[in-house]
Amino acid sequence: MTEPQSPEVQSWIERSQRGDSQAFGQLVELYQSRIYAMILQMVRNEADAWDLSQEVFVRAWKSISRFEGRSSFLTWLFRISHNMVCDFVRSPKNSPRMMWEDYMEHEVAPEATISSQPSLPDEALQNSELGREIAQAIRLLSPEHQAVILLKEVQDLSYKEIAEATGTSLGTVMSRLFYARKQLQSYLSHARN
Amino acid sequence: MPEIKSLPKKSSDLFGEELDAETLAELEKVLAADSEMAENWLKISQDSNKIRSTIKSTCPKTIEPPAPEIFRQKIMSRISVEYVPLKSLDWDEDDFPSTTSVMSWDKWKMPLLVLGGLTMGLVLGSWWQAYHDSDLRRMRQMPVQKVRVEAPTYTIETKQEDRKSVVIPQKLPTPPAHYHYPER
Repeated sequence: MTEPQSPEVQSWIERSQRGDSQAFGQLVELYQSRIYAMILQMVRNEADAWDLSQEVFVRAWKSISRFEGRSSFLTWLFRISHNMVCDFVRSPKNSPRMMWEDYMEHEVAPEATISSQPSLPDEALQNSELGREIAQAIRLLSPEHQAVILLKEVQDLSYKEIAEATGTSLGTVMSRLFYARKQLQSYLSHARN
Repeated sequence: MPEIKSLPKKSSDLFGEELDAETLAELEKVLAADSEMAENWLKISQDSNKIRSTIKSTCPKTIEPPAPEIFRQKIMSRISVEYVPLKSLDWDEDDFPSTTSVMSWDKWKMPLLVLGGLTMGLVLGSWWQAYHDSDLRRMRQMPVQKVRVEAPTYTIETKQEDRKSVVIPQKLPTPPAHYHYPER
């Protein structure tokens, strides 16, 4: 769950809605690192992530008068980011990504799932290796599945917040999360075997 | 679907976090609708604990963009020239339609009234036209009293043998006294 919005943040939002760009600058400073992290972890390219993050804040400024405060401001920014990244990834200008289904067709056969790993002597080394594998596995997920995994496991959003950020129902979030986790486990199981 | 019936009371056992009643109820609905999820949710969730902790340790929650000052300045320069939010203009909100909601009544009132008026006019016009049409049709279908005016016909019958034996008298015989000419 995201942290509750402080009165200071609330006043920045209200001032921004009245056209105070300096107050909006405070919001940019507060949230830029989280938005940039989320986008970078999805597009895996610093230049693209830099441009997309900028665009997110510009769009947020353009439509800030429509922000009604039903969700937190950060969740609202995640929603703009999610829409932009999905459009960006699907754009024909960008090189075609290898989707999970393609990977499964060519590389992976078994539908085994990974279970609790046996403890190794050097756990740090194991974690870094696993981290690389997980990063690779996340990249193979569809943008929608990537988004729910990153919003849940990295950004610590609740199910409801993820539903708001992705513009879907609670049930869809649960379903996407389940299948994304399953695909991750399947990939990691294959990678380890 | 054995897991559905035995969802633990304490949701943190399963998900690593407390779920509120609404979320838990929604999860039960989703599991009831998807047999694959119902059969594997518990296992996948439990097996994901290792992945979850690794994701948390390898994917940072915050990453500062390169050249953060330039990043911010560029945004500020773009927003200063691109757009001024509507609320910044000194309008009385009562004088201007609300923009907070797409479905705002104020925003759609006039177009809807005009559209409603046009529709009503069209319906009434059509009805009036139909009424008149039916009136005319009724008049056309009324039984017409046919009056046949027959011109008087005169037939002169002559017999072939009469033609031959016609003798034009020098003097028309005087009709008998009781003879009366037919009325014309």
